[in-house]
Amino acid sequence: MTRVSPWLVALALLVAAVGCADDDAAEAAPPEVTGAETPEPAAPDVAAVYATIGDPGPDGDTLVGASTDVAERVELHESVIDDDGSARMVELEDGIDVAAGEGVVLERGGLHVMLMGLETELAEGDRYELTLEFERGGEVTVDVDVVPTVGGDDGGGGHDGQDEAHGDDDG
Amino acid sequence: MTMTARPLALALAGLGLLLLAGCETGGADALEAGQDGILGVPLEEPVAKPDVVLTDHHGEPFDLRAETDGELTLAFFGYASCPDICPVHMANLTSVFDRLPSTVTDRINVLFVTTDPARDTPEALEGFMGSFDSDFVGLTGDLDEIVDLMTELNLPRPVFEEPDDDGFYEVGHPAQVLAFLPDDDHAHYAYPWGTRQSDFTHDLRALVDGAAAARP
Repeated sequence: MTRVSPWLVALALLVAAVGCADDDAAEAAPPEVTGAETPEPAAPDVAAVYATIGDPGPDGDTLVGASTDVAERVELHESVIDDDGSARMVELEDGIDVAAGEGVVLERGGLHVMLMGLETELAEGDRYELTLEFERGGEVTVDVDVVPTVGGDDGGGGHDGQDEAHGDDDG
Repeated sequence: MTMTARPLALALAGLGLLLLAGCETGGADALEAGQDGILGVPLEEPVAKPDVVLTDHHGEPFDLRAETDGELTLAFFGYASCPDICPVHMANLTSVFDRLPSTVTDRINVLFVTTDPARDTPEALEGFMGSFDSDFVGLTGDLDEIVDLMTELNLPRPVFEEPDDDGFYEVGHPAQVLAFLPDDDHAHYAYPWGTRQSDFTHDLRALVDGAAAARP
C-alpha cells in the first residue's frame, strides 16, 4: 500500500477548508435593516421596535427572531383589528416574511418587534443594539434609536405628517 | 349578450375594487366628510354618556357625566402595557392638541379608560399618562364596571389572553376613539385606528362648539 504524502493530506485539507469558505460565502447575507426605532415607552415594561427591512434577494427570507440586552424577552408581533373593531396583538411564531425583491416594513399598528420585561429604562435619545435573526441570512445587529413618544409618525400607517403642521391655527 | 355583459363587467370591476381595498394595510383609509362636514364615522345610534364614577390617574373619583358635562369629550379604551396601538393613539392626540390653540383644547376632554384595571392602578396610569398631554385623564375602576360601560357604548369587550410564564398578558381592546358632543353629551362619532392627526384637528376644531354650530 502506497504511503500517503503528508503534503497531499495538507493539500486535501486546504481544499476542503477553502470549499467550506466558499459554502459560507454562498449563504445569503442578511437584508439591510434601516430606520430602526423605538418610541420612548409610555409603559415601564414593554416597548415596540419599528424598522424597514430591505430586499433579501431573489430567494426571500424570514425574520425568525430577535434578541437584545435591554429586555428579558423579545417576540415578533402583529397588531390586528378584528371585524368587531377590537384591536389585539398576535405573536408570529412562524416569523415575519421578508418578500423577495421587496422586503418588509415594521410600523406602528402593524408588524413590530416587541420587547417584554425591559431591563433598561429607554429614554429619548438613547440607542441600543438589537440582533435580528433571519432564516437564510443569519444574524444582523442594528442600532435602535429611542425616539420621542409623541411626534414623527401620524395615524399609524398614514403619513400625511408634517406637511399639515404649518400654522392652520387661525382659531 | 350585451344585456348581460355590462352588469358582469361592473360586477368584475367592483370585485377588483374590493380586492384592491383588501390590500390596504396598516390603518384605516382616509376619512371622508359626511354631509355635516365632519370626518369622524357617524354612529348608527348616538349613545348617551354613561352614568359612572371611575378613578382618575391621580387617585381621585371621576364622575364621568359631571366632569365632562356639555364639553366635547374623546374616549379611548386601552391599557398601559400595550406597546403599539394605545400609545400611538395617545401620541397622535397629543400632537393634535399641540396644533390647536388652548382656547380650543381647554374645552375638550381626552379620556383613556383602562381595559386592564388589575394592572392599571392609578399609579400605573399616572406613569403612562405622563408621556402624553398633561390635560388628558387616565381612568380606572372595577373591571365589571368598565365592561358594563363598554357594553353600554356598544364597544367590544376586553379580551384577556392567558398570562405567560412571567405573568405577562395582552388585552384585546377597541381600536377606535369615541367622540361625545357638547350638544347632548351623546357619542356621535367614532375615529378608527389610523385616523390622521389633520383629520382629528379638523373635527375637534369643528365640533368644540357642538354639531349644531359645525353645520356648514
